[in-house]
Amino acid sequence: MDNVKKQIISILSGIRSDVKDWESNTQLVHSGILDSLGIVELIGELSDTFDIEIPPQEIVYENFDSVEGLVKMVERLSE
Amino acid sequence: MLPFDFGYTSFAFLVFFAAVIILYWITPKKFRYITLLIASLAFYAMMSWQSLFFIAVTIISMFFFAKAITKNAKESKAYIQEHKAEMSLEEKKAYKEKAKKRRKLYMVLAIVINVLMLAVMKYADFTIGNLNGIIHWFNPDFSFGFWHLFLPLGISFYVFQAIGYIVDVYWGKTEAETNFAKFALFLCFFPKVMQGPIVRYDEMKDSLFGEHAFDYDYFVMGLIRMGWGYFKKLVIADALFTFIKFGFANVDSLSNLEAFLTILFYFVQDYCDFSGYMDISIGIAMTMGIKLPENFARPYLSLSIDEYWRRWHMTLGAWFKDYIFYPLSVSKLSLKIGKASKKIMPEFGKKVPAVFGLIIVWFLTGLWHGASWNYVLWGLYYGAIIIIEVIFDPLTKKFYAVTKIKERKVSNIIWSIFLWLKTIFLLGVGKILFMAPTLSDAWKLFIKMFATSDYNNTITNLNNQLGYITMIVALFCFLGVIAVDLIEEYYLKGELLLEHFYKKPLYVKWPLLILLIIAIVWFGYYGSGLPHYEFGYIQF
Repeated sequence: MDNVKKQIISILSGIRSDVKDWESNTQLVHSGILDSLGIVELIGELSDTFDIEIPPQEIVYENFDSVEGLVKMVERLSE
Repeated sequence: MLPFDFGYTSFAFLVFFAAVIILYWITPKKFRYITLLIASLAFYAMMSWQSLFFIAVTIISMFFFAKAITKNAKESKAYIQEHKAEMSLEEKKAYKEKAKKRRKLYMVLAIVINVLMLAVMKYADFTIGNLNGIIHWFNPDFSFGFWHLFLPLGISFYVFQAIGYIVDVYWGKTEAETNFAKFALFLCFFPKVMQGPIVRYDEMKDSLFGEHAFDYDYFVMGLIRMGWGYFKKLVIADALFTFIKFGFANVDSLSNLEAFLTILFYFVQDYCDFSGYMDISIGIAMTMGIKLPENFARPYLSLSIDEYWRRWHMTLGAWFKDYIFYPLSVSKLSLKIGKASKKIMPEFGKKVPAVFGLIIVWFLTGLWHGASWNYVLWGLYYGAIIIIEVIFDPLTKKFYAVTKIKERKVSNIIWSIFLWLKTIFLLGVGKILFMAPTLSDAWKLFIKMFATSDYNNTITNLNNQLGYITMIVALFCFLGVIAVDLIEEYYLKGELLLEHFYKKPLYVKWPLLILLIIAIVWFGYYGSGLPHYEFGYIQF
């Protein structure tokens, strides 16, 4: 598994320790696993870990509904 | 003002609605938005012609600034594309930054103009009152005079929608509308101009400007939805409001039963008034083939305050989340505070940016509802409860993991009832704070419910204010509203009953519809003899 993905899953597990399978879920926001408070917490952690700035316009389902979307967003903002 | 009432519940409005519907469907598809714009402006002018100036300021300022933002974004992109060979990476970056700054300036100017207008019209006297309070400490003989400005109709709703629009254009989520008439219609579409729902341009445009073919089923469902709204407003909400007004105005002389009934009735009235308005608005839009977003999702079935606010006035909550909560919580300053807090409290520190955002959001939510400290306190009360829920969230999750209790499961029904009662109690306190004229009245009313008192006057007061039959009919009908909510929540898993009801055979459908019409006409208009009231949220 690539490093960015691993780190993102570890951050997500810190926010919701009760969720075991992160990778196959593509409805993280839609299903309520990540609520607005979880999203803010996640942004704080991602900004710290990857030293990136995530502006509010990035908060869309496409970026936050799946681990894949998060990886893509982090990689794009790290460029 | 007109010499006659023109609100949703007036006969004049029904005539207007019928005329608009006929004109709308006979207008060629391409020009229907123009028919709707004319109808919306006529409706708005008849409700409050003095308010036209203010909505015009919002429409004009937002239209041109948004257009300038999109134009700048397109031109700067084209410029870089054209000169990419001769520009270095740094030059491109600097050029992009400069263009972005320009777009930000347009957005900020548009927001400042509109927020200033809202602030002056809505909060001038509130600010003057507070200033006078401070000045009196130093000089008791001096005070500024109040301005007594009038509140332009729907200003809190359309300014918020306009701000959402320009921010979305700035963020690049949507392009600016180039047709002035269409943009004007987006802001002043008559079923939503007075009390919302607060809609987003990118979610609304296809439906609002779409060239719909006439859909008989959707049209009739719209009419039924309107009827359901009139039923909630006229038969339930208005019937109880007379006693609610009496209760809140006579806190000192109420018995404990009266205090309890005042609050119980207010629960019922508040929901039926506001959601009834939404049913009528959504129904009107449906008769024109247009879909407005839902604003309620069975709020009184919530098991926490956080959940309640995701089910009540949902479009306002979504607006605050997208345009205040997220931008504030993920701002550099907020994340910095969070980072610093994490060093002291590793777990809670992570939640600090969200808590920071919540405090501001609930302060503003309070202020949005009215220019008084009562409303601010009311907002902060809910903010505090939600923040406590956030702080205890890890413990709550652990509790559920250890006990294996699940909310809304039949096997854990006692736990769910406990959570529901807790939520209703906290909501009751919130509703008292919202409605009581002063904080001291709020406290007295709350205490009254638990004090012993004699019941001698209660029955007389109830009968004098309402009449038994009206009250019993209203409460019985409310049970019907709650039954619909329960069916939608647990049997239909969140779907609306309307579509399922519409598919039922005629011999099931028509008797119920005829009963609904009789109830509206008889108990709503003629039978009760009680006055009718404006929809509550118009004042915001």
